[in-house]
Amino acid sequence: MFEIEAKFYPSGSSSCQQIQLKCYDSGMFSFDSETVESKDYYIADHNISDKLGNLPREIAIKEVGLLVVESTTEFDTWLAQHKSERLHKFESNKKMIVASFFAVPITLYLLFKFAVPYAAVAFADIVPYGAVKIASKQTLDTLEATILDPTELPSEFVDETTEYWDELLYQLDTEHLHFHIQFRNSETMGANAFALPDGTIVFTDQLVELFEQDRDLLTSVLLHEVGHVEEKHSMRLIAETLVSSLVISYFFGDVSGVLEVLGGVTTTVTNNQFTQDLEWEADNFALEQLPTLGLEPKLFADAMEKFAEEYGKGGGKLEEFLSSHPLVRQRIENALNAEEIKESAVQSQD
Amino acid sequence: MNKEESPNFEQYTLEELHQALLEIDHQAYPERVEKIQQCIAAKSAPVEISQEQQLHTPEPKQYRKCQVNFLGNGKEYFSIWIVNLLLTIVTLGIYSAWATVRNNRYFYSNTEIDGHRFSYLAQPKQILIGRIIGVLLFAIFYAASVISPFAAVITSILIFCFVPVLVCMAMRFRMRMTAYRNVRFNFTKNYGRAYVVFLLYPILALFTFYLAYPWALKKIDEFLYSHITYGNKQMKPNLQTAEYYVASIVAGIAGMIIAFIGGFLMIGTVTLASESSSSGNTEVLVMIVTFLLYAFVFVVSGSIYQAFIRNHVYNSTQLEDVANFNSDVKIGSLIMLRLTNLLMLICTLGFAMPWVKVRTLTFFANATQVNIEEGAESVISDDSQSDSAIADEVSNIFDVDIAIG
Repeated sequence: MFEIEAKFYPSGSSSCQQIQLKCYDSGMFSFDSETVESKDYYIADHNISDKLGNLPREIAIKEVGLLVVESTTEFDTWLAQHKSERLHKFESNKKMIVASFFAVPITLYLLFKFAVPYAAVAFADIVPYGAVKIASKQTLDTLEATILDPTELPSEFVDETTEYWDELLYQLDTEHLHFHIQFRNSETMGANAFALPDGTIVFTDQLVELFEQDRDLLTSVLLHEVGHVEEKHSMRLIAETLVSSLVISYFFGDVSGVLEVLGGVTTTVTNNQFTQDLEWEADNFALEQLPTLGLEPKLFADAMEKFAEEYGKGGGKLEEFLSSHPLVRQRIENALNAEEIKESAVQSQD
Repeated sequence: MNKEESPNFEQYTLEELHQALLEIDHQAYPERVEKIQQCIAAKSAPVEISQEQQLHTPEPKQYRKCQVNFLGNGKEYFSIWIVNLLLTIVTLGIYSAWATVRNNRYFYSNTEIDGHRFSYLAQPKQILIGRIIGVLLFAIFYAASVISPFAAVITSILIFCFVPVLVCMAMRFRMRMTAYRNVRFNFTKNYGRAYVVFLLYPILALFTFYLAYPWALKKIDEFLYSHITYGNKQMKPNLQTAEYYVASIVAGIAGMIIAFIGGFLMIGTVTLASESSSSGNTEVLVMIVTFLLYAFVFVVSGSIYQAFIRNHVYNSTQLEDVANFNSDVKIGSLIMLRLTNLLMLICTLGFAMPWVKVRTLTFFANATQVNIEEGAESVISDDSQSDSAIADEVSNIFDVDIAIG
């Protein structure tokens, strides 16, 4: 048995009394107070606050009041006999802290690098085609109402190219059966092409002009967009950005003011890394498929060169980190590498 | 008659003095008359004032000034934070509810006023349920916004319409989970008033080109603070619209000046840099400098506004018959605190978070005093059933900002 000083707050008001708490080995405790009849209590019957740092321990006795006791070694040991303190042991164990220090960034990295993309693929597979179709149609409608205008290209070019591509896509071994190729004029977007998840692929007039209506160059870009559709990139990106926004808002959620800016930056950077990965996948899809259509992977490099002439090749590491697309320079190198691999494969066959 | 025999008028009562003045021989004892008149003047003055006082305030109040102390330290909190963070990641977020409770308990129970600490009463399960619902709502909103812009607009409007209810519920949860001296705080819901304050006034302010916005902000604060109770006692803010205008204008002007000077310097630097390096790097440089400038403007304007308003709110709010508050946050120190916090976080890639939190709480505690009325021990607790954490989490995840700090 030992005695320890405690604060006693009787239920029902904000008053406080200094009392002597008598603690017995059996887990029984009692105290004398001016207002409450002395009685024997047992630890097991009452709500005791977990040990946390050096905070005083709180024992809530229903309808009697609250006891607050300084967290001394003697008192903690007495409570520990009757109540598990596993968490506090983790939190005060030096090895555990050091291990956490290294494990937190590693697990976070693994989570974002592997678990989230893997879950995103699974998610993309279970989204019904109906929902995908509605989403695509709504997106195209919105774009047409805002930044897309009807094409101003000669109708012979549009008809011929569409027909040629329909045939070409038929030769491709794709899961998707429906690809709808569209041409639209857009000053705002400039030279660009994009794919909607239902298989609609839109080229801007500006891109066609930039490539001087070169059908093969346009085909290499088409295959890149087909890659996006085939790998269900839109749905994957939705899942990935959703998860990462949730995770980051959890980490920065309870920090106010300027730190939210950091949270926003982190979200953008993380999401850009996801889109970069997806762009690489689409690039490699195009590079793999070009030879099956009897075209050179170098075409994609040429297409990117044209882009680079228009928009610049991009600079250093930091830009790579902050941008949503891989650097054009790297994409050109990647395409040229694919060309070499193809050539060496051909040579070794000879 | 001898002068030494003069009666001691100072010991006479007021009535006796008046009596003496009537009876005395004015010509024989002019000095005594003068003395009596002096004594009457001296005696009647304080009595008259005290009678007036009795009409307005029955007893003059005695206050005891108590410093707010934050007793946590960064090193101790770091080990709690990092272990709980790891457990949260490993359990894919499920443990986060338990982690939140431990973190909040650390902050609440390390805040001390007058030798008594606050208690945080929320249970992990309450928080977990709230968090699950919050995540689901967020996911639905996200999915809707992807499927169609129209659905996104509809959900946004729906959420917007629920903001007042969410704010009330979140405030209520937060207050009810806070106790001091075994008596809980509470927030009395008033949805009708909440809709007026959170939806109607801001929309009205919009039509005045934001001229009425500081007034709307004041109405929001007034609503939030005046509905807080501690036991059976109510908070009574006495906020002044003028203070909100001063705070907004000073913060706005400071922000504009910095943005202007910063923008000017940036253009200069970029022009210099672009002459010496490639175009790609210049773009990145512009991005980074813009971000830093944005953060700096944000810190300075935000700190100015926060310091002004926090001081005003604390200094003009009373907890009836229990206490009033002092806040003396210095604008310069707050700006320094925020800037160093930002630097610490960037340089340590977020690992300095525990120290950032501890030093922020210490800073605000040090700037705050509570004047407790003598004999204010008799606050009666006003207990009813527990609340769920749902609203708290929902509003957290949708970033409804209701900062009381």
